[in-house]
Amino acid sequence: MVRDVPDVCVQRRTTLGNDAEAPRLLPSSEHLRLETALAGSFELVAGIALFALAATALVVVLVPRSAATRLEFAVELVFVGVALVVLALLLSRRSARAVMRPLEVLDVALAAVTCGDFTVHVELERAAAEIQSVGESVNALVRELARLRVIEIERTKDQRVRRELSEVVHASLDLDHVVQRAVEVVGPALDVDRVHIRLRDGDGNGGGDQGWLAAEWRRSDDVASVLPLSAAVEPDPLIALIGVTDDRRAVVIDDTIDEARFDVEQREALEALGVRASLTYPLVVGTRVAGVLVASEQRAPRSWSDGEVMLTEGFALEIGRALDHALAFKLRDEMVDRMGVLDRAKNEFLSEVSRELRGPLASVVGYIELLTDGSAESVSAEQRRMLRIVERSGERLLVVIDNLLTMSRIEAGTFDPKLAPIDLGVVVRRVCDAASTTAAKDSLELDVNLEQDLDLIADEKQIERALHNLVSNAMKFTPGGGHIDLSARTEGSEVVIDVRDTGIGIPAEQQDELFTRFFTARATPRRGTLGAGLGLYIVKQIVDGHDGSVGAVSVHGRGSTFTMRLPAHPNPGDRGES
Amino acid sequence: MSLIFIADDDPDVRELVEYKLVHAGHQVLSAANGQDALRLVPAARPGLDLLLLDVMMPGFSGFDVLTRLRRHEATRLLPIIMLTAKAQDTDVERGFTLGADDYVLKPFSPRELMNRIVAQLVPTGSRGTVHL
Repeated sequence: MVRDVPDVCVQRRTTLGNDAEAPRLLPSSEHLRLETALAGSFELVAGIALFALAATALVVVLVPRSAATRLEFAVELVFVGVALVVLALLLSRRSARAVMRPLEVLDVALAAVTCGDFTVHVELERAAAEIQSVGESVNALVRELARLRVIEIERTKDQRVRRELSEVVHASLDLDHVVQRAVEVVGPALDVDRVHIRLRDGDGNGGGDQGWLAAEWRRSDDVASVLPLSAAVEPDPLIALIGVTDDRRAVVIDDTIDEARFDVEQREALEALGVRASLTYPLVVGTRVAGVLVASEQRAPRSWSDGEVMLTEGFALEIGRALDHALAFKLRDEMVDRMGVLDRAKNEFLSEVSRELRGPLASVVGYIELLTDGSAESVSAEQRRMLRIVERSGERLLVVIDNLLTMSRIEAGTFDPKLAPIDLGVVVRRVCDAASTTAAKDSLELDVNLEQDLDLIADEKQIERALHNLVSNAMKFTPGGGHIDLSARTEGSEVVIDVRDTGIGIPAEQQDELFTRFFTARATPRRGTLGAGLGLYIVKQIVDGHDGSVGAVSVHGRGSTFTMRLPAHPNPGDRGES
Repeated sequence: MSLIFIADDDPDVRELVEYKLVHAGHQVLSAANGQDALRLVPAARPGLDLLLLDVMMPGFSGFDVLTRLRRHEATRLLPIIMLTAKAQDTDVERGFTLGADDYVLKPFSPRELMNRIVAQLVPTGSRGTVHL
């Protein structure tokens, strides 16, 4: 404050002394007063003297007598004149003092007010009525200024406290922490005996006034706690007594010994709790009342001011917002946990389903082989054709099962490639062996063209699965009599693998979605060969895992070429974090 | 001609394998659960040449049976092929770690299974060295 006062104010203030102790202002500078009074009286005195001289001259001229009497008369007149001048001087000095003194008092008082001192009070007992009236106005002005100043200070303080509360409660996303810090700020700010927060459980409907989370601040250990020992199950006794503020307005109780408001039992209960006055405000989280903020006095009644009620409302809004964030965060955490549990359950389920399906499939595939490989007697050509359909269905089921299992591993994040030098020739041979039976039965020609001594570091099982999926895919979309060519070569630091077919191709509008999950082409040359749409997605996941790329070039009706590009020596560090 | 034991709780699979083996001129013994396999397999030695062992069976699992048989003197060197729908790499690894000689995934081609069996039915004299 003093910092902002100009020098003159400091000076004046010093000369005023300690005004707080002396409400009546005394003019302190005698020098200043005399000087002002004399200067102010000068014109008046000069006027009166001039008037006296002129009157004397006139009388001497207009009353002609003998020279002696004229002289005598003149001398008398001069005496009278001098007496009049002296009288005028005395009168002017007096009247000057009567005006100047109160003015000085007012001047000093106003100077003090200008400098921010709102304790001044002027008393002008002997001044003229008009000046006294001015003095009263000055006093009224000072009182009003003092009142506004108090309001201003309160508001600044409120803003500061709200800001502090905001910082404190938003600094954490932990619910317990938020409410605890909130009561610690609100308590001292409201200057009450205690402040506590109760949050209600669940949706706030069934729980009534049962709180499941509570925090309390008390001015000192002398102040009794209003929280029940076990906050989790027992209702909040205070809130049970004063009612729940579902209307989202403050419940202001200046004195609990209020017969109109509470009956005898309630009053006794409140007394037992140690609550004489309280200010309760609902905490609105999102759209519902999630809890209450309660400030209470233990011993004395308290006349809560509008400012305090408003301040509490501000606190409640701030805490509500912070709780909203914290609850959202908590919910998100719970969701993540639940998702994790669900995800694990899903993966376990998938591998269980896969195993359960493989068992019966063993019989289907095995018996069909017995029926068609000549072990069994006399199978007609027609029966053989039908069995072929059953066999193909069995194979497809197996592919679906394998892909589902692979998918669950991709999604579980346990699909990182295990890199090692691999012999691509061996892998390709295994893939072709597996496909050869079907290829022969569907009259497809399967050609392999591998560059010698291909050098590749990759996950052998995954590359085999990717190739298997690409070849199966090619066979699925290639009509009988068609060709499927598998070739591999080194290009720079990459190994490039092509799977080319003379199939039906992929319509241009579908090519973008080829490698997405559950993509299935809308037509295949053979009935019942549509898959679950996971094959190419898995290829892409495998290739991505190897830091490679995969793409397709297709002319509708003429065939497709799928190309995998794999770094020959992937840098293991690239996948360190996955 | 060899004597081959199959332990699998799925009667269809047992019948399928038996059919194929009998047609190939082998003799077959079978059990539908782990306990029976543990009781019957050592009793069938030394005439028994090979065991086909399912993993997921009620009671004792195939892995339990495998572990116990490998501790048993009579069956320590018995060729054992795991026959299972447990397709995960970790399961396969576990089977080999516990002492399985081969691992065939369900569903399987009976022809392919016969090839694997034949591969295990080499003269027992040369097998001992493999495990030492």
